[in-house]
Amino acid sequence: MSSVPAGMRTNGRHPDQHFHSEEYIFRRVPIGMWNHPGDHLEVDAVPLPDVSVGRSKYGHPEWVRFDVINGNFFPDWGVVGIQVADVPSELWREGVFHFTFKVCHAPIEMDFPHSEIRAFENQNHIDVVEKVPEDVHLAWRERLLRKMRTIIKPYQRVVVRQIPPKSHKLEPFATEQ
Amino acid sequence: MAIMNLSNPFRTTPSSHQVENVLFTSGLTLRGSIAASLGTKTSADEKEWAQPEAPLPRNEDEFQALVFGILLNAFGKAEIQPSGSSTLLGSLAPVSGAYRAQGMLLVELKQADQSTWGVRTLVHPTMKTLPKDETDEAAWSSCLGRLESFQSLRLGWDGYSAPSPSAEAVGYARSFLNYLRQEAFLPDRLAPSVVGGVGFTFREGNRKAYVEFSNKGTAHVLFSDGETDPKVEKFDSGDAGFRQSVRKIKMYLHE
Repeated sequence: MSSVPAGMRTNGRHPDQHFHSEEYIFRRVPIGMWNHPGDHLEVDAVPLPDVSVGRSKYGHPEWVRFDVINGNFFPDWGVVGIQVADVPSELWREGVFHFTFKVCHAPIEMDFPHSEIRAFENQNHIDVVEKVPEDVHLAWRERLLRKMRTIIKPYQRVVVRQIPPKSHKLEPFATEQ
Repeated sequence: MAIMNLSNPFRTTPSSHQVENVLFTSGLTLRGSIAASLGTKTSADEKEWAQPEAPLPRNEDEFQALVFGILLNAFGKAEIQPSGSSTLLGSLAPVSGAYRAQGMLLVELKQADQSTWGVRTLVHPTMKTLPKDETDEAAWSSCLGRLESFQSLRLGWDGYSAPSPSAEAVGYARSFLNYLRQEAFLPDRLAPSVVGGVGFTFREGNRKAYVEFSNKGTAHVLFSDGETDPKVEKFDSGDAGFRQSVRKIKMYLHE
């Protein structure tokens, strides 16, 4: 059994919608989605908004290996990251449809760093699957994929830190001995 | 809140040989000879077996728990069923067996004695780089087996909220695979899509074409060189659409 790090808990903190452009957001990826530990992922592994992520200002990359909703911990899954500035921010289709994308802080009790990439049309939060044509959102996923980098490789066991990060910058992690 | 540790039952710092075995057993690498002989292999090649660091399962329940550990380590949610004819190594294996998902053999365990035992995955509900060094027949069988196994994935298999591939998406993907086989055009990757559906990837140098059959029954192909704007086209999930899209993919990859 592993325990959710104390620093992950919300403990009365309020959402913080300010994201530094160099801040990282993280997401866990099942080992079954990697060809080899050193490989890049493919579009099939890239989801559509709302995309659940952790954020580096309040959480370490290994923290997203905790699935606090279902009570699971995946110590072998890979973790990918992307800087906030690299999230494709808008999409046009034939100069008519205009969709924007934004990272929003959406903490939950057991997971304060939890955030989401959300899609908007005219400032209104939308359901991408319903509102955005498939060809448009497939291109968006490819653009997102190009900017993603592997932060923790699949099977790379790292020490789970208990205390939140000091800043939005990515802090080095220690590999388990 | 209790957190279940879904860890890899294998060594974390294995030798290079062990790495190969662990990757294989965990579904990251698929050995062609195994994939080609689904459920029929009876003589074990020792190189294909990994030695788990977990305790030897002493009964059916413990074996099933081990199997779940392997599967949940690869994907968040999958469904398995014990095989009807699970004994593989007879008298040498008081606890041995195989588990199937959607008819495909997933995990096989053997035991030589109390201290020597192994476990391996024969077909896993995942994609992997397809085994182009296999014989053609084995490679296509491997692809088809992998595609069918996607149906064992359950809602949330990616550890978030990924839908399982729908029967419709798998059906169109199966038809597409049959068309590719006629064309002798093997994909580099076949995978379930986290947005719901099935994806095929074809690569040549920096260029790739990604085909996705969505759970809604639609099909698109994305062309990308990794630098310029990706282009996406919709196509019909029928022979005419397959023919046209495959022709474009070949042209794009080789122009």
